[in-house]
Amino acid sequence: MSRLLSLAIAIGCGVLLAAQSPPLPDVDRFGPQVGEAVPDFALVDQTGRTRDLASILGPNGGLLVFARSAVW
Amino acid sequence: MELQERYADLTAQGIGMAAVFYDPPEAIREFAEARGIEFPVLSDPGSAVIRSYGILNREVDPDAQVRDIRMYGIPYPGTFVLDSAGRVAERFFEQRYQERITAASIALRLGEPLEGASAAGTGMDSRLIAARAYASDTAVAPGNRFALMVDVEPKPNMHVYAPGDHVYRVIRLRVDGPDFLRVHPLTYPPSELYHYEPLDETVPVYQEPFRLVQEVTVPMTEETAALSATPGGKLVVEGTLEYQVCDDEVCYIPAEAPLRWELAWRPLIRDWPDV
Repeated sequence: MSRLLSLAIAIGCGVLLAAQSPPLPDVDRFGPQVGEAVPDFALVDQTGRTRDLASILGPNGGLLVFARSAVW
Repeated sequence: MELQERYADLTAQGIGMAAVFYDPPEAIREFAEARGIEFPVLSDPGSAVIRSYGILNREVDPDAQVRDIRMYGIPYPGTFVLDSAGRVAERFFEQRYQERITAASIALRLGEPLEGASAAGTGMDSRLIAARAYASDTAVAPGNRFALMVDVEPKPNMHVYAPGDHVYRVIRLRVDGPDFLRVHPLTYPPSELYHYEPLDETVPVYQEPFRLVQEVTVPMTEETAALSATPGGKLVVEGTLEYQVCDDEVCYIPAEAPLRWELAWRPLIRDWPDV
């Protein structure tokens, strides 16, 4: 009986765990880290001009923002 | 449009800015025109650059769609702060694709607060301690991570307690509401060691003015979307500063002071993300 009970508890816990959303990733691991150079690129901006990394940096550097989507 | 509002300030500080999206050039153009964006908005269709940066969002279901648009290809949202040679000076990434830290709170973390970006909250003043509340931004949107700040000034000869191995009440900020706010760990500045001779104990304290920084995220939910769309609506954050003040002779009873921040909502325009 006690084994059946522990099995039931184990199944119950499993259901509870499954109901939770998956753990969120450790996003700090992804991409260039502090001190590393970021990859250069050639991307078209809203005016049709092709921009590389140097063209968006100021004398004191710059913010490169990665966002979700411009549409949704 | 938080980034656009910060663009002039950042440019004046010699700091460039660009945003990368996985959307095609036409969508980028429409987005930038509709929102009056002057800084470069870059189109990365196929997400080649997002992949080359190693930040392709792999939690997204490859088949998932939003309004007939495939979601796969988006990055983990975040900001690289680069030096003039393109090396990473700081980086701020979020786990959830709906969320983004505001440029004003990034500037704050870098110790270069932006002009006119911050909002003043309430304050308190007693013979032991004074405190004043500020926020990194005057307006926030659902999905934004921003900073609540408390500037604390122990009065002459007074000190309050920093985190450490001791029995005194550590000064802390408790965010009491609204409940939907996600509260991140409180950031303390470096403390100093104080030697209390009668007990021969050494404890970490603050005796000079200092700042506590409490970042919070407004999650993107139906509730916050509705609140942000309400004309004249405000985001009112209630908090409590908990502290204990001592001087060279007396330790006063642990105390609390209510603090309050009032920010405007930045509505989500046409369901577009707040950038």
